[in-house]
Amino acid sequence: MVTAGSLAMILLLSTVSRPGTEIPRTHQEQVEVLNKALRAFDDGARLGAREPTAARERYEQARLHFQSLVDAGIRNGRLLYNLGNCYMRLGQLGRAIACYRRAERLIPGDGNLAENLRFARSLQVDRIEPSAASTALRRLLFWHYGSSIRTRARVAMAAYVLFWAVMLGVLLTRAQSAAWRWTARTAAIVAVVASVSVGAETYQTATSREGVLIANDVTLRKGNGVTYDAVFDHAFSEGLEFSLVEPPRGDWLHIRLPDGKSGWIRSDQAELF
Amino acid sequence: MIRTILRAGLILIAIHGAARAAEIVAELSSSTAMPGEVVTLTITVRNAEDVGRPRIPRVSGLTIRLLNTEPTLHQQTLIINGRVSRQVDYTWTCAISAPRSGNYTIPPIRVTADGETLRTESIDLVITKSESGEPLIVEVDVDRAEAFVEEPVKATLRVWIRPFRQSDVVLTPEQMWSRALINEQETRFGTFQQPQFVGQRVRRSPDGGAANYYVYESQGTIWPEEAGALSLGEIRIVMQYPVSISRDFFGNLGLQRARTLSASPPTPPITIRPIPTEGRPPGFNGAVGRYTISASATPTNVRVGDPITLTLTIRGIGRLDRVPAPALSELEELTRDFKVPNESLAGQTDGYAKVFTQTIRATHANTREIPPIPFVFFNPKSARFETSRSAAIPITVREASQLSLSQVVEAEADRPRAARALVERTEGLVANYVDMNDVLTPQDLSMPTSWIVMLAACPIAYVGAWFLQRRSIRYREDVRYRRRAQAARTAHHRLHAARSASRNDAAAKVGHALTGYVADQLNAPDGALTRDEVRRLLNEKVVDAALRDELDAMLADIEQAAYGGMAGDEMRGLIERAEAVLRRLERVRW
Repeated sequence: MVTAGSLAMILLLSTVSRPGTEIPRTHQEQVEVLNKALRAFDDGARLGAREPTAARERYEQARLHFQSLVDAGIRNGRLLYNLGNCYMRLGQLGRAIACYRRAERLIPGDGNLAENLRFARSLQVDRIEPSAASTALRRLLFWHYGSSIRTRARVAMAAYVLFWAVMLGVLLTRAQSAAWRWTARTAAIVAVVASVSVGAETYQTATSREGVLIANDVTLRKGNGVTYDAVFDHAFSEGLEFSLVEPPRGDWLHIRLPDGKSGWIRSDQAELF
Repeated sequence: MIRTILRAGLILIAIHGAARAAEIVAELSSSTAMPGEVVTLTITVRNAEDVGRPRIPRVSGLTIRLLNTEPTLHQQTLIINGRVSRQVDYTWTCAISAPRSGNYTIPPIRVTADGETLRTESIDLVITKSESGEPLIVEVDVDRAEAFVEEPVKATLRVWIRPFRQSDVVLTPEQMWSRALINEQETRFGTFQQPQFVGQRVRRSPDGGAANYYVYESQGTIWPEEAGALSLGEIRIVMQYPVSISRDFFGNLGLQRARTLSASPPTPPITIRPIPTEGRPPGFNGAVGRYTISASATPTNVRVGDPITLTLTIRGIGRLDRVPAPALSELEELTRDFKVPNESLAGQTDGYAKVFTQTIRATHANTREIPPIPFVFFNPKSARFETSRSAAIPITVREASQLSLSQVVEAEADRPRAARALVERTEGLVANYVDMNDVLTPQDLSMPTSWIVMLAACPIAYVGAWFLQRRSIRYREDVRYRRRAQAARTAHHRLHAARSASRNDAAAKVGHALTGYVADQLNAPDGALTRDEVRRLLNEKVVDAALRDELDAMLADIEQAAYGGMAGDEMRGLIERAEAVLRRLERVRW
């Protein structure tokens, strides 16, 4: 039965609060949350291996703070990069890769991001080699796959400006030198090829969806249900990246692995980006 | 804790208490309750000096918790009509609850007092099911039915609380899980964090009934440490479930009456299996999961006996913080060529990897490599022991120089610091971005405005330059074009000259300005056009008749002024008329 003291308790004043999950609305609040996140991350790094449980709690706090900034609508690649670092420290490889991949679209060519994404991928348990045709295409178009979209866009713009500058120079000076013509043609070709490369990647980013496994022991099935047989006699681990074959169907995703094989997984086992 | 409550209303003159027999009484706060509801059992021993702790019997289906390990002491001395009596009560309190309905009998509880064993009467307790469903249910879900020791099990602690309703008031999920209702001192979450509200759901009972519940969940990963049942720690939710609530003067809600509920989850349906002993490889030292091992060494060009730092990195899925280091000193392939200290390595865990470092020394110059280091682990998925091996590391070992101790000391003192080749490591995370503007400024991939301007400006500049150049060439090479382009300017110049000319010349200059303009526009010989020729040319060009007539009349007046003379004012008027006609001529498309 209730004591006299508890009778006086007012229910409305004693609600459950969730620290770290409030969404910061104003710029001042966002700055404070960012500072809290960075402090928590640094605390986690300081505790490190000495006190792994406490360190993990700090990283989790930092993750919550960074996530609240993302939830506040801040679309920033470096923020996503920091969030990915938290997931890495928490040992959640799949979510870390998802964050890095999202950040890649906002800060393509960022050195730190490229390094951490490369490191995260080195930790993938399942490594699936792309198909031979895909490998050959990647070798042929190494400049496309090996450079960031921002770099290619800059190259395209530089070549474009060079082309018109040469054309203008030829017009004004009436130069007939073959070197001028060769320079203009080369610049035009580079501008067109780089523009096509940028356009193709932009189109692919806008039209195709990719994802990463965030769970372990994921069975790739032949259909969208647990009654379908497994495609492989192997369960995949988190961190494996894939592309989506078609829009999600209910709670199931039809995915294509890097080697071209496809199958179905539950949507709660993956994160799309 | 012993609490003594002394109640004495009278001054004691003498105490001559008559000795009375010790007795025991047990009382339940209520003989009926609902599943999960806590009822209190009070055990009181009277008239005894030396009292032991009650022996609480086990009753299947009932949870009986002794709340105080030491009795509460209650002493009373009375003097009535000169007769003094003294009474001492020892009281224990138990909390009793049952998760399921039924009739329960608590057998006699025994207490030793003054060397004598006292027994209570057996007590009946009836647990009846609530018609509207159990108000508090606690359960734990696990993601599998079997797991090995140290294999992670994902578990969900789920608390179902039936929303309290009273007329038009329904308590919210936050109010139902508030400090006023949840007893935080007695509530335990075991290995879980505090559950959070996840939604409102309908729960169906086995008898077909259904009730609406607030659901609170907490998810966690449990690493079983022992075979058998899964240990979740102590999980118990204790709450004051409202019976009635009231509003105060300000309209705030307050508890008026409540009953105490306590619920614990049933044992989750999972069996923890031990790591098999059969087929256990010799190098296995307890790691469970799926791991890979990699090794690096520095330096790799040494003399015999020089220290080599061997770094072993273990990555994978499992409890990395508990992964032990491979027993290097027991590895024959390694100890054959290297001196390896016999010590256990602590290692450092960094979220995704555990790193061990050990200093080894080559024992002879024939050593060519650090052999692959095996790491044996038990893979719970395949239920087999597996071995990951690092790649062999090629090294160069030279013979050590034989030096006396003094030579070694001198050499060490004189030797300049050797330049070390820096080896960049590709492992590990790069630090966070910390600059506020870098992190909080929204970004997008849309094309910058400067780029759009540049894209448009380049071809526009080229076309503009091309146009100007074409015009310049034509101006230079095409006389007719040049005359037409300059016609208006030349005519205005001539009219301006007419203003300052003598009366005799002025009329001729005005006429020259108009006929010259027509001549320039039509590429006719300059200065040779007569009034009639102008009329004819204008007729051919289908110039507006009114303009043509006005120009003809203007030229007639000019001829008259040239031969007959004209006053100064008339001349200025003629020039102004000529300028007006010229402006109209400029609008003609020639």
